[in-house]
Amino acid sequence: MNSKWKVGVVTGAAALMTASLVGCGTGSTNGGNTAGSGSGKTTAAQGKTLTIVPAPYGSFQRNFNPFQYQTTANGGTFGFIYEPLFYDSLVSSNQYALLGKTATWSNGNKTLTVKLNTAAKWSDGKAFTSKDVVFTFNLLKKYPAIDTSGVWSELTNVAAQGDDTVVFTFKKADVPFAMYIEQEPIVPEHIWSTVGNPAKYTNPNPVGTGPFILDKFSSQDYTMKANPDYYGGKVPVPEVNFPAYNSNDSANLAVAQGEVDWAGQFIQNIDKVYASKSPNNKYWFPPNNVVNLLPNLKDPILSQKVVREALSLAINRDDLANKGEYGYVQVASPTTILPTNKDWIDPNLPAADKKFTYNTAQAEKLLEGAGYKKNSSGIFVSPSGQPLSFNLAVVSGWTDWDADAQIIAQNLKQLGVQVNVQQMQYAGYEAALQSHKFQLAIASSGGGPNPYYIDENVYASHGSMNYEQWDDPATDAAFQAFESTSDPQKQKEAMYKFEKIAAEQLPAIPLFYGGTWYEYSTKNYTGWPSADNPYVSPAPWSWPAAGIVIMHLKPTN
Amino acid sequence: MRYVVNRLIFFVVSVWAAVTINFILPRMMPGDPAQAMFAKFSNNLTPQAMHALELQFGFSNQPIFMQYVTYLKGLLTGNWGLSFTYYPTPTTTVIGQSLPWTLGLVGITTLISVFAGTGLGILIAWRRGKVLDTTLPIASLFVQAAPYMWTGLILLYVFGFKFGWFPIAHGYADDTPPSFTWAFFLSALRHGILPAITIFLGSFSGWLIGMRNNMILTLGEDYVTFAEAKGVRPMRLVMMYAARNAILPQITSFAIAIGNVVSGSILTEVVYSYPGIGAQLNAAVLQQDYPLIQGAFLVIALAVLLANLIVDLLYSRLDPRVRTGGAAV
Repeated sequence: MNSKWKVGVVTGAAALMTASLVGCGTGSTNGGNTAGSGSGKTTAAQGKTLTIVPAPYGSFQRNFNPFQYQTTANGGTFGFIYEPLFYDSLVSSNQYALLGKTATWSNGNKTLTVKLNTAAKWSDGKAFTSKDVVFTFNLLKKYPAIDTSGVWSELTNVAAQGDDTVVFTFKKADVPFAMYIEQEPIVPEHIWSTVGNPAKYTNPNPVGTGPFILDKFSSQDYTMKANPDYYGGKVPVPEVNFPAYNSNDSANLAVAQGEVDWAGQFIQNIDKVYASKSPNNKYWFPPNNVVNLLPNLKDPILSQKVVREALSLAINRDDLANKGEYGYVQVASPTTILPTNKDWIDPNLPAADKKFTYNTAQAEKLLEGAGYKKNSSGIFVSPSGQPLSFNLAVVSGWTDWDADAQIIAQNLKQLGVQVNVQQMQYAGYEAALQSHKFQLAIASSGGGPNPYYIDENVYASHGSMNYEQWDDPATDAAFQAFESTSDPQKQKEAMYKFEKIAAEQLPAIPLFYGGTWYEYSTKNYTGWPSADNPYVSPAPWSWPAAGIVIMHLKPTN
Repeated sequence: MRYVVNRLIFFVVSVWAAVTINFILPRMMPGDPAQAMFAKFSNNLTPQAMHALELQFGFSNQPIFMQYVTYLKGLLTGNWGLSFTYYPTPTTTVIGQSLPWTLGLVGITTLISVFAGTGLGILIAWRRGKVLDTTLPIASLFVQAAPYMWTGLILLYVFGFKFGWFPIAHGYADDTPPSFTWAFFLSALRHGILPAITIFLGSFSGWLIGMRNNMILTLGEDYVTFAEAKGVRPMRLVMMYAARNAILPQITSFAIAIGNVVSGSILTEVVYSYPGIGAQLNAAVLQQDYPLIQGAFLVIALAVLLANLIVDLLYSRLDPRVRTGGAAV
């Protein structure tokens, strides 16, 4: 398995978790006007079967449990069969209304009222109502094992108001958290009330509201047929096909030969191996998260801002992007803001805070100015006599990161800082980060529809990925301000404060933006998300976004 | 009778040993299975998600002895745990789905290989020095000397990819899912031919040469010369006098081969993306799916032990010396 693919899937899954309702990111949710739902775009022409390879799965088991869509459920379970209330794009500010119609905050941003789309129907013909939504959330409460977003850590109550409205009551104002609620897969009460423990249920015959219905299933291939009664309009793709591939190589081969319409594979030399094979073979690798060099801020030397600044100055990020990452990614900016989120960048930020420079000589001057001196072997020594020598933790087998680590070690060696690359098994690496037993580490953030989701986990003092132990009241206050308002302008101002801190304090050292691997063929269908038309998260493992992509496709014949 | 009882006791003790080792090994692997599990999905799952997954997968903190008792109980009641890769599908379901493919492919091919090899071995030993005897062993040895995987790749490339005569992956065509129909049967057959040839080429020469050499030794024995001098018909001499004794070592090898049938021909299955237990085991190891690895190893261990037991018992019929501890009958 290629490391890039792993990183991609992993961060993608995280992105999904982290991503969805900022209710405010776009200003569209709260007012109740949502961007074009994946519907409406109907077309008369009948298309061909669309073949999807989210990732090479050796074989399939019949598991269509939507509460396991991030782990072991088969692709398509969430997005094609089951749907959430809303979905927030990770690559644009679009919000898509699916089972929800509008979402409105009230009561000091502690009550979220969601109007439902009552045109939706379960594929067995039964009506979709607010009871199903309330039932789903009560199921999450009863079985914490399926509450993967931890929605009940923030909710106090979920109640129906008539058939078409659901009211969510929060413990405290946390506007961005609504995304997790709006993005839960909704299941039908009349079926799931009798299945017992939903964590142990494989749901072999799924009944959902989405654009597809499970058709044939075998351990090496399954297909779904378009739902003729889909409330979102005529589904432009009559059938989707998910074949099994044992390895990245066999999947890449099939993708290159044009047997696959939509894939999320990491392919080396993609222009030569794939894009040059046919004018229909296209790809787009939108940024998805931030890959950081994390310093352990409890380390007496790394806690010095000047040391972090010197390290950052001495790293050649272009080399990381072009050599370590095959030129598939963009270098990070000190603000941590993804290029797809550029509206969120403070327009008044000084230029130096918007772009990293690579200047080893200046880095040396910085250290010398702070009283660091080189010893006989050319390594800087701190004023208290400690040599600047650090271990750098990376995951072994994630070959791109391993290459990045070597580049960083060479760059810092030139500065006069000794870096020992430690390739670790994932389990050990993860444990080291979580227990903060590391000096330097390469680690990626989560993803999300706006910068809050990406940065809050990494930089808030209680953040779940705050491995570097950044504990700063001003940072926490900025996130707090974001959480308590549903006004997009105020949210932006909150992020501006954080950007300045990130750029000038360097709690973590951003390296580059992790990519999303996504290949598509325009042979049978057009209308795919692309750099020119980035309407929604494009990767075929980006559930439930893939369902929205399907509704935007048009057959070519 | 005493011999049979001895064998049975030995069988029970070895099963217990296999089961226990199967329990201990995964627990000696470095790292926490929970962490390894999360490595697949995680990196960035929130703590809530991690907690939820821990609850889902039911990692237990019971004392090791209690885990062992639970494990033994589970084995006896057919509760072998839930696969990580296909959670919450029971490992027994996953194994049950792959096993028939492997038994069909590797089992049938092994039988063909054994009969063809042994039969031809008898033939060329009897007519030694003739054309077949001088060419066949060398040719088959040459093919066997190439690793399975390489032979498989070459066949796949030439007949699957270049000429397109055979499918390049899977056990059946995607449009004929498993069912009791001719279409499925023919599709499965077509998909099985290349892997079957690969396995056949890889194992045939062992049977052929083994049998030939045993035969030549036996044919040199005094009693065979004596029988020949007495005018026993050639056919009867070869089959009843020589081959019957010469075949004994083949049966031992056969027992080992039968055991290996269950473990599948891992490389062959991987090369052809065949839906058998070998490919499944390979995937389970890569995914660190401990319950599935444990289940697969258990099935393999039981099959090997069982095959050995049967052959041991069979041997006592074929060769009375085994029963009586060497005393003449």
